Amino acid sequence: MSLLEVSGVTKRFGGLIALNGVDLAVGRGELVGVIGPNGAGKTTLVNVVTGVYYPESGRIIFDGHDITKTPPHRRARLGISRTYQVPRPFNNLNVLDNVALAAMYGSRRISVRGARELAMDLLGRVRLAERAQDYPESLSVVELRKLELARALAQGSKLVFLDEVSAGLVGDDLREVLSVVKDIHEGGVTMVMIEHVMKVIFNLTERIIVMMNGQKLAEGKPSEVASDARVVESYLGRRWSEI
Amino acid sequence: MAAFLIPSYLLSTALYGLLFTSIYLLLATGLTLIFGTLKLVNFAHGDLMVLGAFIAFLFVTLEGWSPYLAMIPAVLVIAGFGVLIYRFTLKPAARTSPVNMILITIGVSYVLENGLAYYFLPVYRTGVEIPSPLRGTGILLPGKVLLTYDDLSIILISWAIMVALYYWLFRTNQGIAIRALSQNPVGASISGIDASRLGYLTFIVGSALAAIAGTLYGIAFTFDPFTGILLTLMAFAVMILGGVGSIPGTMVGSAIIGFAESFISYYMGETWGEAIAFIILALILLVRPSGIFRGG
Amino acid sequence: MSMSAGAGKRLKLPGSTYIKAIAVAVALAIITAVSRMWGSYPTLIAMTIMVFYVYSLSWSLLANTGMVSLGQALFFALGAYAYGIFVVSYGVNPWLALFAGPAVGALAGLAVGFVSSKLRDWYIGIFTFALTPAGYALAVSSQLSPWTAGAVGLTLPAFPLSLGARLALSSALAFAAYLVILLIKNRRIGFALSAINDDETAAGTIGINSRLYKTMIFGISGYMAALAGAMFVALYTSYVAPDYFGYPDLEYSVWPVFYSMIGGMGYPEGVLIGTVLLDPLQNWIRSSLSSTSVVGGNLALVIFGLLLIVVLLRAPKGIYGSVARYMETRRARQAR
Ligand SMILES: Nc1ncnc2c1ncn2[C@@H]1O[C@H](COP(=O)(O)OP(=O)(O)OP(=O)(O)O)[C@@H](O)[C@H]1O
Ligand SMILES: [Mg+2]
Repeated sequence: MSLLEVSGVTKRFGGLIALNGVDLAVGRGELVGVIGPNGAGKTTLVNVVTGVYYPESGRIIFDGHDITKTPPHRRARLGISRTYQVPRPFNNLNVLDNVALAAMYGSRRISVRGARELAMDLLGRVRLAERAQDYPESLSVVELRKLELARALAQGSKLVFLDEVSAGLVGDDLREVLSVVKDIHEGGVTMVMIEHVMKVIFNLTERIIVMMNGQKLAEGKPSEVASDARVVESYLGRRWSEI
Repeated sequence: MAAFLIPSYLLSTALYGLLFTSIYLLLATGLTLIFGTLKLVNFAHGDLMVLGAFIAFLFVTLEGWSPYLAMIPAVLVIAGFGVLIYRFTLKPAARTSPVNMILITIGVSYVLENGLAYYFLPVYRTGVEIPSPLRGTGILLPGKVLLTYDDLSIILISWAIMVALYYWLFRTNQGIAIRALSQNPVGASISGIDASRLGYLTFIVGSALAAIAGTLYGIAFTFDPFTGILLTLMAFAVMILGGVGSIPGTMVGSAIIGFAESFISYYMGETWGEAIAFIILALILLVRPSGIFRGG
Repeated sequence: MSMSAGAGKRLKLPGSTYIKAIAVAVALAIITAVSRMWGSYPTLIAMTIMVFYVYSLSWSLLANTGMVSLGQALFFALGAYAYGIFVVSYGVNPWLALFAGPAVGALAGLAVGFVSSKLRDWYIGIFTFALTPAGYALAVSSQLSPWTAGAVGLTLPAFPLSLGARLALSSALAFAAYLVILLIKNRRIGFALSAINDDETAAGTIGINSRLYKTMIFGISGYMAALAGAMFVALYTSYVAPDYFGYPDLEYSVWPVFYSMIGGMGYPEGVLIGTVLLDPLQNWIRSSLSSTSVVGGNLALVIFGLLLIVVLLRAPKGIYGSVARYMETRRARQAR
C-alpha cells in the first residue's frame, strides 16, 4: 500500500482551477520528483496535502488514514512535513528555536533539550550552525531556504515535501543541501521534491511527475519523462538540459 | 391592544429606523471603501464623523449658518484632517503588522476623542445637538406621527449622496480605478494605476462621507466627544454584516442594524438598543467566523 | 495529548530568567515598602499599580498570541461583579470570593476564546469589543438589578485586612501573575504561542494546534483579568460600577493596551515598567495638571494616545523590548 494516495483532488481559487482532478501515489521510501512550469499547481498540491487548503473534491489518504478533512497540525503529527517555497520563518524565535520547535511538535516525542540538540545537529548539516542564535530577519534568502529545510526535517516525519528548496542555491551550498536530502531519504524518509527544473533531481529520483495547468501531464522514470513528447512540447523551445 | 402594536408607535419607530439606516449607510460606506481599497482597519472613522458634527455645530452656533450649509466646511476640514491622519499615522501603520495597525488607529481614536473632550466638556458639559431652524416643523402622517423636515432632509441627502457615490464608483475613471485597486492591487499597479494617489483620494472621500454622516447625525441626535467609538463599531457591524466592499450589502447591513437599533431601543431601552448591533455582530462572527475573507 | 506532555518538556530556565524574576520581586517589594512608609495615598497608588499590572499581563498574554482584545474589560468587570455578588448577595467569605469569583472570567474567557480562535486578527478586536455593551446592558438591566444594583452599582463591605496588608496581598498576587506568565513563556507552549503569533499557517504545519492553544490562553487571560477586577473592587474601591465594562467609552479596556504596548508587550518585565511609569503618571495628570479631574483624564488619554502611536511606529516592541532585543543581538554577536 502506498504511503500517500491522492485521488481526484480539485482545488479552485475563485474561477481559477489550480488542481484539476489530480491522482497521485507515493510509495513508502520513495523519492519522487515533481516538476512543472509556473502556476502548474505544484505548491497548491503541497498545500492541499498538508492541510493549508482543503480541496473541493477528491480524497487524500495518508498511511491508512483519510486526512482529506484533517486539520494541518494533526497531519503534521501523523508524519507529514513540508518546506515553504517562500520561506515562512517564525521571526520572534531565533534560528535554533525555529528548528527545535518543529522537533518538539512534529511527529516524535522529544524533550526540549533533545529538540535543541537535534536542531543544532540539523543546522550543522545544512551549514547554518553559526547562525543558530540569530533571528531570521537577519538571514539571507539562501540561509532562509536552509532554515526551511532544517525545520521540515526536524519534525521526524514519514513524508517530507520540499518545495523548491534548491532554488537560488549554487556550488557547495547546493551540493550540501542535496546530500542532506539524500542522507535523510536513505535513512528511510519518503520524500517529494518539487523543482522548477529537472536537472537538479534527475539523478536523485526514481520517478518524476510533470504537472501542468493543474493536471498531471506525465509520469515515469527521469529518462522516460525527459523524452516524453508532451513534456518536451510543454517546455517548448527549451533544450533538454534546461528542463 | 398591547402597547408595542399600536400602529403610530410602529410608524414612528420605523421612521427612526430609517434615519439610523441612512446615516449608518454613509458612515459604513466610507469605512468599507477605505478598508476594501487600502486594507486599512480604521478605528478612528467614527471619531472623524463626530469631529465633523462638531465643526458643523460650531459654524451653526457661533456663525449662525444653516446646518445644511455648515456641512460644507465640516467636509472640507475633515477631509483635510483625514489626509493628515492618513499621511502621518495610518499610511506608515499599514506597513507594520495588523495588530499594530489596529492599535495605532485606536491610539488615533483616543487622541481625537479626548482632545475633543478636553476642549468640549468644560464648555458644553453634556452632549449637544446641532440646532436646526426647521426643528418641530414637518408633515403630519397618520396616527399623529410627525415626519419632521429635518428627518426628511437627512434621509434624502443621505440617499442622494449614495447615488452620486455609486455613479462616481461605477461610471468615472477614478471610481473604476479605485474598484480595480480594491479587487486586485497587483493587477491594478501593473496596469499603470497610481495606487498612492488613489489611496489619498479614497481616504478623502471616506472622510468626507464621515463628515456628512456626522453633520446629519448631529442634526437628528445628541452627540458628545465619546460617541465616535460607538459609531465606528456600528459601522464595523454594518460592514461585516453586508460584506466588505459591497455597496448593496452595506445597504442591507445598515437597514438591519438601523431598524434593530430603533425597535429594540423603543421596546427594551436605549442600552439594549445600542447593544443589539453588537449582539448581532457577535452572532454573525459565530456562524461565519471567516467573516468575508475566506470561503470565496 | 500535547498538553500533558508539557510537564516533561520543561525548558531549563536560563540564568537570566532567574535574574529577571528576582529583579521583578525586588521591584515589587520596593514599591510596596516605599509607598507604605510614604503614606496612605501612595499606598493606594501602589495598589492600583499591582491591580493594573495583573490586568495588563492578562491583555499582553493574548496580544503575544496575535489576539488583540478590545473588550478585556468584559473579564475585568465580570471578576468585579462576581466578587461583589458572591459577597453581597450570597455572603461568601471575601477570601474565597476573591479567588473563586474570577473563575467566571475564566469560563467567559474559554467561551470567547473558542470563538476568537477561528477569527482573524482585527475581527477578534471587534468581536471582543462587541461583547462589552452586552455585559453593560446586563449589569444595568432591571431583571438583574437585585444582584447588580443596576446603574447605581454595588457597594461592598470592607475586605478584612488593613490597608498595608491589602497592598502586600496585591503585590503578592502581582508577582504570582508574573510567575504564571514566566512559566508559560519558558515552556514549550510559550514558543508555540510565539510561533502562532508570527505565522499561524506555518505553526499549523509543524504540528501546533493553534485553536486549542488560543482557547486555552483566553481562559487563562480571562481568569487573570477577572482577578484584577476582583482585586480592584475588593481591596481598593469597595464598589462595583457598570462602567468597569469599558462601555460606552473604551477606558477600562484600553489601559492595559497602553501599559503593555508602551512598556513592551512581549516582555512581562516591560509590562511592569509600562504600568509603573504610566499608571501613576495618569493619576498625576488627572489630579494636578487640570482644574477638573474629568478633563485631566482626557488630557492623560491624549498624551497616552500620542505616546502609543509614536511607540508603535518607531519602536513596536515598546521601551523594554527595544532595549532587550538590542542587547540580545549584541550578546549573540559577541558570543560568536
Ligand atoms: N491562495 C491563492 N489564491 C488564489 N490563487 C492562487 C492561490 N494559490 C495559488 N493560486 C493560483 O493557483 C495556480 C497554481 O499555483 P501554484 O502556486 O500551485 O503553482 P506552482 O506550480 O507552485 O508554481 P511556481 O512554479 O510558480 O511555484 C496559480 O495560477 C496561482 O496563481
Ligand atoms: Mg510553487
